[in-house]
Amino acid sequence: MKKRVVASFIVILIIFSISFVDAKEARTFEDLLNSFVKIFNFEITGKATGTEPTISITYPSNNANITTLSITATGGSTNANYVQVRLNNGAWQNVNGLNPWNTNLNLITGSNLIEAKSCAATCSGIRSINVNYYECINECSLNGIKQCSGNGYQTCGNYDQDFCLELNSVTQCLSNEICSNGECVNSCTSECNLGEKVCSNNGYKVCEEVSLNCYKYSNVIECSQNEVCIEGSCVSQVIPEDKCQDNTFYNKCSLTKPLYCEEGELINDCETCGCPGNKFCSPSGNCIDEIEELGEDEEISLINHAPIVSFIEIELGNDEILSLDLNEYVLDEDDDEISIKFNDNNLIYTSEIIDCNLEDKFLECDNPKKSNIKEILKLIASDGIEEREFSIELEIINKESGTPPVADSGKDIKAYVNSIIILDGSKSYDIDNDLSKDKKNYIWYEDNKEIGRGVSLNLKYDKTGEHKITLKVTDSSGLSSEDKIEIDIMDKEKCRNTNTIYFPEDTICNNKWPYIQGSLIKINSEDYACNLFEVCDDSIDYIIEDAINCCAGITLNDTKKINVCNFAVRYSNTNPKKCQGLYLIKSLGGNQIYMQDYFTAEMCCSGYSQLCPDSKNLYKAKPKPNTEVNLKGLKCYNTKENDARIGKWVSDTDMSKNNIALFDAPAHVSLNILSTGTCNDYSIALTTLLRKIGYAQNQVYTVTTSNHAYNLIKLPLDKKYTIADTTGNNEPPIVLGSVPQGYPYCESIKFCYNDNGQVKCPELNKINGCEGLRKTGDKYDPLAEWRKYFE
Amino acid sequence: MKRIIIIIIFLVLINLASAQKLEIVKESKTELIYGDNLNVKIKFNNPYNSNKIFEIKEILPQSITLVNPKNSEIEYYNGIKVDIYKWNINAKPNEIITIEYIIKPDNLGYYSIKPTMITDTSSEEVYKSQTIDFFVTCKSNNICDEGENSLNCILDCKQSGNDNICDYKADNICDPDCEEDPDCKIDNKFSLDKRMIYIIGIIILILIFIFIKKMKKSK
Repeated sequence: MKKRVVASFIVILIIFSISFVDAKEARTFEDLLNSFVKIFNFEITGKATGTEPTISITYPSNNANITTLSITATGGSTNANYVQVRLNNGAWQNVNGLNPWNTNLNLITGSNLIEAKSCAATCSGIRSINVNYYECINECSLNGIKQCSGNGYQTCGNYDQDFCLELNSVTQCLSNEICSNGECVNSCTSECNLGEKVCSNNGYKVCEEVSLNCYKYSNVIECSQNEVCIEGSCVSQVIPEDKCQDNTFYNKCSLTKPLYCEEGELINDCETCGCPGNKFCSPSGNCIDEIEELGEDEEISLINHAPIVSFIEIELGNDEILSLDLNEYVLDEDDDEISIKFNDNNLIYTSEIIDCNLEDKFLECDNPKKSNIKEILKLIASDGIEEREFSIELEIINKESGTPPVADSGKDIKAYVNSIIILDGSKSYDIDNDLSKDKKNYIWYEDNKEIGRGVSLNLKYDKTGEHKITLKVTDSSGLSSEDKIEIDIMDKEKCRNTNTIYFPEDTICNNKWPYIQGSLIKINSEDYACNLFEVCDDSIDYIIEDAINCCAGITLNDTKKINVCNFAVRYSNTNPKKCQGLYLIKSLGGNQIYMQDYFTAEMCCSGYSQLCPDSKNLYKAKPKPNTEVNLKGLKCYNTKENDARIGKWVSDTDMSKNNIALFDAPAHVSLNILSTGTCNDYSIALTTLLRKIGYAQNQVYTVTTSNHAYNLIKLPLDKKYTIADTTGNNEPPIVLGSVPQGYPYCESIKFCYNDNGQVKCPELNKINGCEGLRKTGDKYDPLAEWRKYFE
Repeated sequence: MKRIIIIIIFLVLINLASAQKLEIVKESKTELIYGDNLNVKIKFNNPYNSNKIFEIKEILPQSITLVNPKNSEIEYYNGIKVDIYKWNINAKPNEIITIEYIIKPDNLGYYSIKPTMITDTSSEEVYKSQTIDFFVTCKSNNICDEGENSLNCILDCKQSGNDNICDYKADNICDPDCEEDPDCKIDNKFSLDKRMIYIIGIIILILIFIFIKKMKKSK
């Protein structure tokens, strides 16, 4: 047995030795193996005929221009045992077949050298050809064909060095044209004149400018229930069948002379009804000042229609204040300016039951002094020419019935000297559903002294000490309840070394950038958590104040901020903390308040061509961010040859010291200096702001994935987290109840961070819109559902 | 006299400077029904006395379908792909340019379109329009379909339902999406009472069992 093994080994060694002699030029293991195959064939098959082998290449042809990356080269051979081909001086590769032969080749961009040889005992000469390959795809199918792009067209043709067809630059259509089937044509045909109105069903359509100089009717604007459309306008229906619009009975004179009610329509009939004052009756039925001077047209303009008034009935609770816009009840056909007063010619009304006053055409009455009683206010409406008396019947009722509301003033608060404390009564409720969010229903007291009204209230104390606050809520039935909280004003225990007044109580940080504090975390670059999530930085407190003011109903000084504030208020259901959170999230979105655009320069500097749209900016600190801060000297220290450097922010004043290649910016840098960032920077800035405004350490995280970063936020009262992505002012940055689109947000979550360092990320079933999904790389766990059940 | 001339020159310069102002107006509907297209119109002027080439860049929101133009340029902001419309327009002196495009929102809810950026290619100066916001509401069919919730489709989705939206309200429905809800508080009280009943029941059963055993023993 041993002998056999030794013999076999010797035979193999001999064959390898022979092949090695032949393969002295072999450069790779494959070459060596080929040499071995060659010798082995010779030795075993002994098929050396003594005739010289020949080789030919049939495809591709010499100097061919090829547009596909992978080709099948073909050819023929004679007197060969095998054929080999090599590409661009690479290793020789055996091909399939002999005559014909074929092999697949992956070309490189530009010129490619293909060589072939056939071998038996000896090899043929090497046949070589050159082919050119340019990586391109036909962008369009036929030369000369035009196609629309934007409001212009592009023509298909070969306009560059490669062999593919592409579209040329856009030829813009004129502003009153649109592109259709590759041609500029007039954008539309007008169907009406601007402003024209026509009735359609029980509504009307308005002629609008749909494109320049092209007018079309809008969608139907429905008339309200008590209106009908007449000649393009919604008008009130005649209410009683036997009365005209001003309550004049059929075939009777109106109180407004010379109007006469004829089959529901008020017509001028001075012959029957007479004229007011010193006016004269004209043959046309109108009343005129002087008979002789007037033509037909002028007669019409002199008719004055008295104000049309309605009888008003109102039910008022004994604790309610009446605020009524009388414009809705008093009309004038001539569009004359109407003035309203009480029938004693005063603007103030006082009685044992109620006190009221008129301002412009608004009636305001205080809380009634008595209940279960009726009061009639008599008023006069005048258009300057004629007057009409009308009444408002107030029925004052005692509403003290039903279930009292439940006041909830929130949990006890620990706060710091001069920090803004937000008292939150939004969790108060009433099972009768008659607790409105009106300011007057929520009254806050300290030591039995009213300190403010509203669902939420902002307070500030300049000294340490304890304060006992009471919230009294009152429903519309007059029933009320109270809840108490304690506010403990202390000296700062956290962020002790900065002047910030907005910081989370549960932070481990005491300092702002640059400082060694917190755990060392590595997202792109490496830094300390308190340096990135700068919860102690006072320079970004102004953003927190904007959020607080927005949600306290204080008007902000900027249209963009007002838009964001409207969004926050609309979706927060009066919860101040939710409102502030939504304000901060949306402010980094499309309204671009505190950060704008995407910091492309960071990616260009790092050499990420996919994230650097203009290749001219690669390895440069360009394009410069749109910021008011002077960034002169900001540099990129990476080069094409050395692009592995990770940048770092070192100085706020000397920009030349900072390398912006793939660095993680401290929050104040993203918000105050660069006013922009990449995904990490947007996410870090948002986490910092939310933490500063009081979101707890387990309520907000910066989430990182293999190629992205965003936020996980647990909004107040929500059971689950919501994902928010503000990268580059992403829109929408948050989809309440779901996940933003455009990225596998749930599946990709890897690590979670905030100022307290890296933390365990929440389970996907605790994130809105991620239920039932699995993280990328997680193994399928069939028992997960059962485990969850037992948990 | 000199002073007056200086003041006049100063005023003329101010006028010239104020005349050279590029203004952008961006318009669209603010509310539309799911399935409708949104027309966006961008108007701007060339305030200069010469022809100028402007590059107009419109970054589109996520969750939309491009209707016209159908093709866009694409940029990547880390993991997210962004559709961008770009136009290069040669504007005559004082010409007012109007650009229109049409998109279709794929989801319900609140959308914003970022400010349009217009770059004067000769000076590289960038001008921005205002942001426009619009709300996509559902077409009511009395069924709370996928993607609909009490915020974006109140007609079909009742408040306090299981829709990932917490509606903190005393409406006799314990909202499963809320960590706290007045109606859940009431439920908790009931469940506590039930638990008490179960415990008392078990204790009574045990006592009966012991009693029967004792009775048997005594026999």
